[in-house]
Amino acid sequence: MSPPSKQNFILMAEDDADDRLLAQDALAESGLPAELRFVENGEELLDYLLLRGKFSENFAAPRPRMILLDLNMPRVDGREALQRIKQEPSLKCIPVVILTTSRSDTDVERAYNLGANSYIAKPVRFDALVGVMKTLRNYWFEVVELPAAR
Amino acid sequence: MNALSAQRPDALCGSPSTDIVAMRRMIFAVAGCLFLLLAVLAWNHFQDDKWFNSWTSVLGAGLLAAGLGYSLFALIGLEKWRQDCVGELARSAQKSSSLQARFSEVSSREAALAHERAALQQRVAELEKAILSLQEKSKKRRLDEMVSRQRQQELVRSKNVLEMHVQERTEKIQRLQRRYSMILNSAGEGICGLDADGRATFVNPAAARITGWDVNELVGRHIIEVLDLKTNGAAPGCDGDQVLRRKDGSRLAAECIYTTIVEQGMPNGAVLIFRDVTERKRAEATLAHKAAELARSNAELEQFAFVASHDLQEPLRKIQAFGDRLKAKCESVNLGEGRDYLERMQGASARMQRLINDLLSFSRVYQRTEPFSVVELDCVLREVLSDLEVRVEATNAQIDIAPLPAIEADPTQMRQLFQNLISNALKFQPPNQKPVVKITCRGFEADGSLAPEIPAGTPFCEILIEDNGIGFEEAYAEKIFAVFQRLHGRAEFEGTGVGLAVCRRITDRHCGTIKASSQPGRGARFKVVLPVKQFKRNQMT
Repeated sequence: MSPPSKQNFILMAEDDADDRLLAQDALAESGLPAELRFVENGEELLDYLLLRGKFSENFAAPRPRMILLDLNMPRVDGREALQRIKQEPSLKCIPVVILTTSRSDTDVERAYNLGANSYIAKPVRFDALVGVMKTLRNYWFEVVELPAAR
Repeated sequence: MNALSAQRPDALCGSPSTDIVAMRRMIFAVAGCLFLLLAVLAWNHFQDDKWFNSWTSVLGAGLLAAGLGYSLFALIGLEKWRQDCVGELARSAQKSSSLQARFSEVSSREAALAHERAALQQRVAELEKAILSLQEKSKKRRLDEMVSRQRQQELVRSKNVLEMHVQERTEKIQRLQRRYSMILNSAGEGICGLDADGRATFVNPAAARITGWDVNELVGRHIIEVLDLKTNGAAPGCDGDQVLRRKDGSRLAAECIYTTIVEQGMPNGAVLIFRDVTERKRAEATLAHKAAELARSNAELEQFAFVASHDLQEPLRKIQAFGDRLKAKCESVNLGEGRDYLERMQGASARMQRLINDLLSFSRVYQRTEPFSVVELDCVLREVLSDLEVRVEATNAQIDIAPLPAIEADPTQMRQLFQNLISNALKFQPPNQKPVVKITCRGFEADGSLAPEIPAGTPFCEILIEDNGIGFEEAYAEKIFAVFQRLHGRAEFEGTGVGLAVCRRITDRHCGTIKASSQPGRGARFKVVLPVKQFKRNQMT
């Protein structure tokens, strides 16, 4: 089976429906074209990326350009998912940005130790969230170079 | 020759002496004639060899014959006389010898007697001397006897006194022995006296009771072996916590104290004292268990506090965020009072967020602690002032600081303390007044009245933070340290009322105090008292 194709979208792992909505709205408000797809927890994220579980038959599960990862999720939380992704040879080149409410130093240090590309603490106010989404989109879609899709 | 021979018979024989003289003369006469004859003959012979020539020869022969006859007669009589004489001589010799002997005997006896007499006299003299000396001696002896009798009496008296003393002493010793026995027998600890080989010479009842043996079963045995105690390597003793083996094989936790007895510089046995510490061990185990539980509980609490605050904050975020969305979406729409309500809702949730954060930091005073170390309070103050720099510049505040000492404290908490106090001083000001904050310090020594565990002379430092702000009524001086307690409405001054409660908690943890005094409109004075060195019991927190 050939590896799935890569497409220009952001895959977000977020368990909270409100946060998903806010993220969607914020990205839309930022005014830059970008697609946001969601998975609800770490297990689903891994299933998607590894084409297993409910995505095993889904040959149309393309690789995202980047992953936005919340840390506190049920079943498999963001920390575990991050570790798995960064250990998996076929997945570790995908940029993973942690977007979480936790500001604790322990979480920040651990995330970077596990190989996260960036760590952003979710802002409280909505307009700040819009700014974050805008920055993310600009940075990861315009500024940086990413490995070419194989 | 004649004279001599005449004397001798006179001396020896008495009456026949004249006879003897006559005889002798005769003999000699005859002998002389004979000789003459012989001489003539010889001359004749030599003149011519004729024997029978002349009258000389006949004369001679007749003389000769007469001579011979006389001589023969004389000889016989002589012989007889000689024999008589000899006999007489012999007898007289005998007599004389016997007389002599007797004489000599007598004389010798006399001599001996004289000798003896002399000796006797000497002896008498000696004896007299001896008698004298004996008399003296006996006198002396009598004196001595008297003296010794006196002495004996004295001795007897002394003996009686001594016996009394000994009796007393013995009684005393017995009393002491009984007392010591009582003490040893009543002791709750097991006490064993050991000899140089480690065998028990004495075992008290408690030792027997604790170990399950009888006293007489233990005496004479090697205690360390019997009780299966571990010795400390080179030292012969077995100090410290041990697990001893009882008679029935069961084990008992015991605390042992082994003391060597040193007599004249040499070790000579030991005293082994052991105590049943099962209870203590149980208490220690319970304590350790409780401490572990407490630690676990604290950790859980910390976890809970963190998670609670995190999860509590999450809905507040949503309220804020969706409030903003609503405002954005309805910008063009006239909401009227709706907008105001929305603002109040968002304000309320923001406050709740702050409350949760403050509550979290309040609980963290005891949860998140650092170990005590030497903290330069000058440094801390400088850092705090630099953190508050924006505020200070904005209000054009004047901060006067005096040198502060270095004390043993939690660095982060010291920072928190000063931050809270100084930001309060800057905050509670009348509008448009230039805040003036004075920080001074003085050292002093405890007078022993602070707390029983704080001995007199312990060094403390007292830091005074004065401001020229709005002050408060003295009546509220204690109330302001209560958590969430505020003296002003939300509209006047922001804040959750937890800052001073945190300060009080910090000073409590450091075994210090914080007090406030003030008059309305006359600023406030906060007195912080902290020990320069932390106390032992506090080191463990």
